[in-house]
Amino acid sequence: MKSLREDCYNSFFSHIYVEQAVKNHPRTKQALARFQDARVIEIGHYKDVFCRRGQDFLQQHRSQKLILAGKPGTLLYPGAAVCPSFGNDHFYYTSCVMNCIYNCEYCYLKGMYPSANIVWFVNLEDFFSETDRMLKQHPMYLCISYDTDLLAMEAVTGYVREWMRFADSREQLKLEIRTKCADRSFFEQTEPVCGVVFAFTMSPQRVIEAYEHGTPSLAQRIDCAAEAVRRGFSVRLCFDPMIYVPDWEAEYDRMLEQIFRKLPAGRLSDVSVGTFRVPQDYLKNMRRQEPDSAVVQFPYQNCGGVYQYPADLAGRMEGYLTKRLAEEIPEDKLFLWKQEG
Amino acid sequence: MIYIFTAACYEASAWIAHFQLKKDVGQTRFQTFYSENAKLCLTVTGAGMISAAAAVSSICTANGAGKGDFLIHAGICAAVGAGRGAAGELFYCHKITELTTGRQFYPDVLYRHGFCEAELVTGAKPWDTSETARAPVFLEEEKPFFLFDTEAAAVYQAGSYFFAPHQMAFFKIVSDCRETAAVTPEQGKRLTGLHMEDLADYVKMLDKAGRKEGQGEPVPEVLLKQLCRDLYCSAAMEASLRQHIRYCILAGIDYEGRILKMYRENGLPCRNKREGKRCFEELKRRLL
Repeated sequence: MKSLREDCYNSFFSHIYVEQAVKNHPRTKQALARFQDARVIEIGHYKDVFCRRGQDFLQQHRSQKLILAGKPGTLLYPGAAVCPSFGNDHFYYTSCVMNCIYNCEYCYLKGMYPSANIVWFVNLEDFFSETDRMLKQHPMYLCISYDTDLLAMEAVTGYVREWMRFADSREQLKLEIRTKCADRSFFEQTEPVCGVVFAFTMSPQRVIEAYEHGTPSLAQRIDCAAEAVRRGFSVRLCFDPMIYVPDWEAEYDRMLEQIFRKLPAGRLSDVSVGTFRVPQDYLKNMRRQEPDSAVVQFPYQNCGGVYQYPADLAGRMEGYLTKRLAEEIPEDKLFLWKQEG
Repeated sequence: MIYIFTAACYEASAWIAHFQLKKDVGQTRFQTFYSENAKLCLTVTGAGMISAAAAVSSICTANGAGKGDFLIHAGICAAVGAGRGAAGELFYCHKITELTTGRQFYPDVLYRHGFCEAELVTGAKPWDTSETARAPVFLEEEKPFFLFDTEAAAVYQAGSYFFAPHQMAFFKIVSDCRETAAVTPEQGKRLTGLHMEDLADYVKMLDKAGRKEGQGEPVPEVLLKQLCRDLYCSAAMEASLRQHIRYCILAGIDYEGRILKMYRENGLPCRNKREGKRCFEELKRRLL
């Protein structure tokens, strides 16, 4: 867990907001027992805190608070057009935790959510029931770590292990857990489950240092992914989003060399490539929140409501990386994101 | 700037003395005191929600309050419930409930402080224990302890037009008799004075935090306007160029050198819109 105790800011989770309806839920009690020094504030509905007017995402990220809530209504959503489905027909995602402890400047969450505080929905069993209901209709490819980094929150929520236990007895269910976390101990202490893929986002160290604040280094991510592979977990590498920096060819070359020195390419589940893209409404919010961020203020082009790099630059970046990856990875395991339509 | 709002003069006097605030004689509606050195502006709103909202709205509009600024509401309150809230105790309020509507407001508690925290309820008239039969019983049943005043919810709602939730802080000091109506000016002045050093430290910390909030480096308008004239830019092209230059500033790219080179090599200014469009595309390529 990162330390946010810097300057004049309160510590991470110094305050925990608890919905009245879940105050006696076992997971609420578990959270409050873990953060005994936190001040507990009772609330009616999580949106009373999460959706307040005029919140400053960046400032809040310096002292994130935890909101414990129950999520009613729709719990599974069809996969978004800007996300790759990896050839799966029934692509869904779910958010049992909203927001992330990492602070990546380019992250769409800054444009999507009005608050940087973390919402933990404690009614996980309802998510399971909804998944079971859907599985009766068709098989599912379900991404459970899009709007958060669930593995980075594992010490707090334990949700990755719970989802793995759930998936273990459901052959029709494929789970993707996307992460920048480098917690090797998780893979040392957990048994792999068929159908659960851990998708590690890989970025050049220069991009990590410039834009992925609070995340593990490239070397740490590689070590963790290598440990997962060694222990038989299904591992995907995501070079997505690719971020433009001056001399990007050399930066991505260095990254690939570092990766394939330690990771056996043949044992990877698959690999995805895609340059940065974000829905136009999100970018508008991100630019207001982060006026000093070069990656957010880049003059992206609006293509069908999605902001992305100019077509020639995006083509060169994706082409370069896929060509280099094709030297190590069979073509059928290489997925390049393409906009539909 | 840090904007401080108190309901009564006696709640303001310790602030005025500590920061050596001067009266703003130009303000006729609300008594206002300021210090340019400390970047403080204190306003006495008068009692009640309407007065408080009117004062916050008036002062913040006149001064253009916004990013990098803070609002502090400080004053005397009643304490309801057993076990806590001794007379003279200072609280930082992390939740404010408006009694008439039941709406709840949550100032962000981002900055470190050493104060006790509590919930605050704002009612239309002062809490009076002799009228408990008419008082909202549900409050005492649901909440073992809470503070009670007659302004904070209005200050929050008016303040939220100018400030983010992390820019507003609410401090309340429990009155001697636990009922706000019965506080004498002397008591109020003494109680506020008890905590002035701690409150002043908090103000200093806010001042430091406010200076760190980024505003974004401005794009050089003169250069941009000249360039747009010379390239026959439309409004959309100007917006695109502005974004390119903003990016160059942040990425440390020598955009001025590249633009000058473009002037030399491409014979800017352009002679017509068609040539302007061609040069515009070329310039965008060169800037990245």
